[in-house]
Amino acid sequence: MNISSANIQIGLRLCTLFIGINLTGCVTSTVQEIRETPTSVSGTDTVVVLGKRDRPSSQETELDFVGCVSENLSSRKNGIRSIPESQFIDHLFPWFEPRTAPTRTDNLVRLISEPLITQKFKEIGLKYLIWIEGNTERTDSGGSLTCGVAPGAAGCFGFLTWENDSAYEATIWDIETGKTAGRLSSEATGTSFMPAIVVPIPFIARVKNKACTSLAKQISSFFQNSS
Amino acid sequence: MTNLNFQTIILRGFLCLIGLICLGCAAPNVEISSKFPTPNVRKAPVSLSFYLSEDLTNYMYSQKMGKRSEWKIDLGAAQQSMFMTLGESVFENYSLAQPGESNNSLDGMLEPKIAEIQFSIPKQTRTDYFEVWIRYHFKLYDKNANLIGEWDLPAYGKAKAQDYPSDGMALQAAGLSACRDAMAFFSLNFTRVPLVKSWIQAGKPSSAPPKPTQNSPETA
Repeated sequence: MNISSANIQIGLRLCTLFIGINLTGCVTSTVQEIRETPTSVSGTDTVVVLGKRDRPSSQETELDFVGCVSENLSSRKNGIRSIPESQFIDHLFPWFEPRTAPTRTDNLVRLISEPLITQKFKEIGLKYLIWIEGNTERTDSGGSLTCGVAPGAAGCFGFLTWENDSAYEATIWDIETGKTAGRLSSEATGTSFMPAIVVPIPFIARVKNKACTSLAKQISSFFQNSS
Repeated sequence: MTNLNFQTIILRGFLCLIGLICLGCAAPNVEISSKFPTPNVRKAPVSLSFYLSEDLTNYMYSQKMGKRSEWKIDLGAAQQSMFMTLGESVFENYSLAQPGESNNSLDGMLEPKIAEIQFSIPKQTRTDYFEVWIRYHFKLYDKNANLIGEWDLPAYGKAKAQDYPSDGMALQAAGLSACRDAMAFFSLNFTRVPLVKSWIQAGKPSSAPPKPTQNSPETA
C-alpha cells in the first residue's frame, strides 16, 4: 500500500515536470545574413556584444538580451570568447558611453587611430564589435480571466492570449579594418496563452530566448564560415 | 480550535499582504555610490586640486511625484570617488584640497558643485525610461585662489525600466549613468573648455593673492 502510494506520488511529480517542460507556446523564427568582408577568429581573439544606447528610444535593446547573446556565443561548441558588455565598457571608459560610443564606422576609424584605445583593444584581444539593435514587443493580446476568493475556496476562470514579436539586428564591425564585416537579423514570433479552469495554466512562448539563441547561432556560424 | 487557527492564519496573511503592498508603494530613496572606472585619456598638462565642499559631498535631491510620494536621490556619496578618479587620470598631478589649505606646488584649484538636478519617471514622460539630468558648475582658481573663470557641464543618464527589478534600482542606474556621463564629458573635453584652453596656453598665470576679506573656498 505504501509502495503504491509512493509510486503514485512519483508518477504525479513526473507528470507535473513533463507538463511543466512542455507547457510552452509555439515560436517561429527566421534569421538573415549579409556578409561584406571575410572574417576569421582564432582561439585568442575576443568579441564583444554591445547594445546601441546612444539615444532614448522605445526600440532600445534589453540588457538581458545582450547578455544572453554574449553568453550563448561563449557557451557554444567551438565557442567564441565574448567579453561581458559592462566589463568592456568599463575597460574602455569613457569611449563607449551612450554619448561617446561610435555610431558609425567613420567614428570607429577615428577611435582606432588613438594609440591609447588600440592598446586597450590589444590587451583584451578584441577582434570584432557586435552591435545589437531591436527589441521584443507585445503586439497583440485578448481574452479575459476572472479570479475569485472566498473563505475556504479560490479559483479562476477564463482564457488569455497574447503575441510577442522579437526583431533584432546585429552589425559586426572589424576592429582591424574599421569596416562593417556583416549584418545579421533574427526575428521571432510566438503566441502564449493561459486557460484557467480553477487553476490558471500558462503556456508561455519564449520568443526573446528563441531570438537570442538563433542570433547567437547565426553569429557563430558567420565567424566559422569565413568567406 | 481549528477555525480559530484558520482565522489567525487568514488574518496574518492579510496583514502580510497589506504590508507588502505598502512596501511596494513606498517612494524610492536611492543612493548613488559606486567605484568609477578610470578614464583612458591623455593627461591634460595641468596640476590641479579639487575642492569638494560639504554641500557637494552631502548632496541629496528630492522631488515630489504626485500628491503623496516624494522620491529622493542621494548623489553626495558618489562625488568624492568621481572626482578622485578624474583627478588621477585627467591631470598630471592632483590632490583633494581641504578648507583653508593652499598648495603652491599645483597650478590651481577646481571647485565643482551641482547647480541643478532633475529626474523623470516613465509615468511622467510616457516612455520606458527613468531619466536623470545633472548640471555641474565648475569654478577654476589659480594657485593664489583668484577666480579665473567658471563654466557649466551638463550630464544625462537613462535606464530602461524593464531592465531592472524595481523603480528604485532603475532610478539608481539612471543616476549612475548621469555621473558616468559627467565624467566622460569632463575627461574628454576639459582642455577644450575655452577658458581652460586659454589659461593653459597663457602658461597658467596666477595673480596676486586675494585680500583676506574676499570669500574664497580656501577661506571657507
